[in-house]
Amino acid sequence: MILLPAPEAAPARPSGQGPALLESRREADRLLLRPLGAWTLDALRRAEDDLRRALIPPPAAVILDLSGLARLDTAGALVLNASLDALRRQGVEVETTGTDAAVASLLDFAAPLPPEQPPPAPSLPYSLITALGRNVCAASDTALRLTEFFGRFLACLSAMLLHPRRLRLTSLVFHMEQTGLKAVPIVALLTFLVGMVVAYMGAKQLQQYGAQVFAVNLLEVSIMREMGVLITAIVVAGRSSSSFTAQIGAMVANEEVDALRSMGLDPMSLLVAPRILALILTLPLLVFTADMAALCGGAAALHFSLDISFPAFLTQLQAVARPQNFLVGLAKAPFFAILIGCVGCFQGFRATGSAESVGFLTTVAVVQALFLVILADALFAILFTAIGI
Amino acid sequence: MSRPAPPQDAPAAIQLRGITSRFGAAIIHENLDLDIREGEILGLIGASGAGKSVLLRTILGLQRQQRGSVRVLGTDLGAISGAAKSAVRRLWGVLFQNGALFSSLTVSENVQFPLREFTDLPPLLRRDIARMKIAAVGLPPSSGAKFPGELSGGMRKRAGLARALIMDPQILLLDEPTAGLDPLAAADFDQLLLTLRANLGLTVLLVTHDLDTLHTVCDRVAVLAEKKIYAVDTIEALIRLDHPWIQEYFTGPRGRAARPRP
Repeated sequence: MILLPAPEAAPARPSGQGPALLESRREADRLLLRPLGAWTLDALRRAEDDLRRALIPPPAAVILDLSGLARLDTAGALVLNASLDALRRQGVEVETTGTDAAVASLLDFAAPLPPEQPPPAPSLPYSLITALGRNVCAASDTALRLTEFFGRFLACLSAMLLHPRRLRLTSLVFHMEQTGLKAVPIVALLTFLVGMVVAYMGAKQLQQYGAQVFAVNLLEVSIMREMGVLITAIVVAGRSSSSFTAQIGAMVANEEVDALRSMGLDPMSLLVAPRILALILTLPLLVFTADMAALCGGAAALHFSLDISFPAFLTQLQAVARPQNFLVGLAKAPFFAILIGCVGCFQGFRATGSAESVGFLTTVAVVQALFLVILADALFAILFTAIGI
Repeated sequence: MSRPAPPQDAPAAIQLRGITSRFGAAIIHENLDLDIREGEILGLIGASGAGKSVLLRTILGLQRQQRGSVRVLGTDLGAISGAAKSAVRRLWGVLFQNGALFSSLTVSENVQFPLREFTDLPPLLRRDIARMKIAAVGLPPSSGAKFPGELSGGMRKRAGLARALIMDPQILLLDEPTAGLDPLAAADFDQLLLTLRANLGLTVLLVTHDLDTLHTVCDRVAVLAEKKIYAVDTIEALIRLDHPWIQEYFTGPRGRAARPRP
């Protein structure tokens, strides 16, 4: 912004803080324009309107007298320049007077650009179909790449079976602690509460038939078979797949992964294998913890609300419990672990240079991991029904 | 091109007095004074870890000093708050080291952002002003529609400069504007700064390690050493000082290479 020195002859110059004014006078077919005051960003909205109105109807010639300006900035210069330009293109004769060096250099700086051609907006149905197509393509592309990633993980794993020393034990133990041990409190607490809810709600319904003791059966089937493993997987998907994506994504963004590759090291065996193996090993243990916590929660709920004592609970549990329910739940855990770990690591590798992409992919990883876990659970349910377990 | 060197007695655009900052037990600045004159381009140099960035952040008010005052165009930033402080902050434009563009907005939206927040200009005019500034910093018009993630480092810096310039600030604060640019792009950037100063009468504070930039654009150079501004002067005068680090800086192999041949 430039403060213009007041010329001696200028009549009562308005103060620099005043609004932008425009004096316009028509003499025959000539238009005399004299901007006054501060033509700066804050006052430009009105000034631009005034200027446009003053030029209607279009004159044959314009004389622009800039000697009355108290202040001018690049935006003001742009507005003046743009109108002059438009006039010249219409064949109007334009003459500028009263420019000093500072104004001239600003006008010079704020040369107007040719008007831009906005790209034609596609019609609504067309754009909807395009968006749908794009999403379908993106989804199938992701599925394909995820499958490829899983294949590469399996290849890496089988290579590791042949050369067990390639497995980074320190890394594996670290990730087992991070994804397994540190998840115990939250998993145990959540499943304890869910166990309480299931037992309580079940017993309330069964009480109507005087069969509240069968709440134990209900608890045993629902927790062991479905709830224990599903809730654990959901918690771990939220905790670990997001942290895998964030860790690996930050490494990709920081070119650490490229550095590894350039040293001839395989990020798959260094970064991915320890993480997914850690999940495969710890998720079943977490599921066992979850099952026990849920049973405790159920026992507590039944004890305090329906007077089913702990010994009675245990007797009933031993009478109805079938090992296959427990094993069905436990058997699903490693598969869920592979899904969660693969999605987390896979999304991490898709990171680009920006920090924003890591944040975005972290969200994507959690959503996809949850989706895949629940989908796989449904498929398992069909499978186990079909083979009659 | 001719350089309008500011007169010796030009008033201070930014005045630091008795600045003391520390992190825990580590004292970064102790009783630091600095004047940046209106209309000058002042370079700020100092060894890595000497606290150049901390000083810049102190001026910006992003970091609170333990003692001392920061005056911007005569206003003590410590004595005002709220709306008055926001008004002062509109008088400067800041270019952070990596451009600090908002990654969810396009370049054009980034540049327009201050206009949208602080003025009532119609969208069309806002867009035209942004296009002017984008062209002024030497970016092609097509870059307006791009997102910061799609730009190279040098282009991000230029876009950041366009955003810093959008409100026509009187003071420009630049953190390592030429770091990471190739020599040609850096030389372009130097010329751009000189053009902007000649056209807009800017006051510029430049934190830099680029010896060519120091020689080409800076009227004076401030040396941050021993927890204070050790000296502020032209490079020729600085070289005559008997300080080992300054000597090494300007007369070492790189310093000699960057000196303009007489």
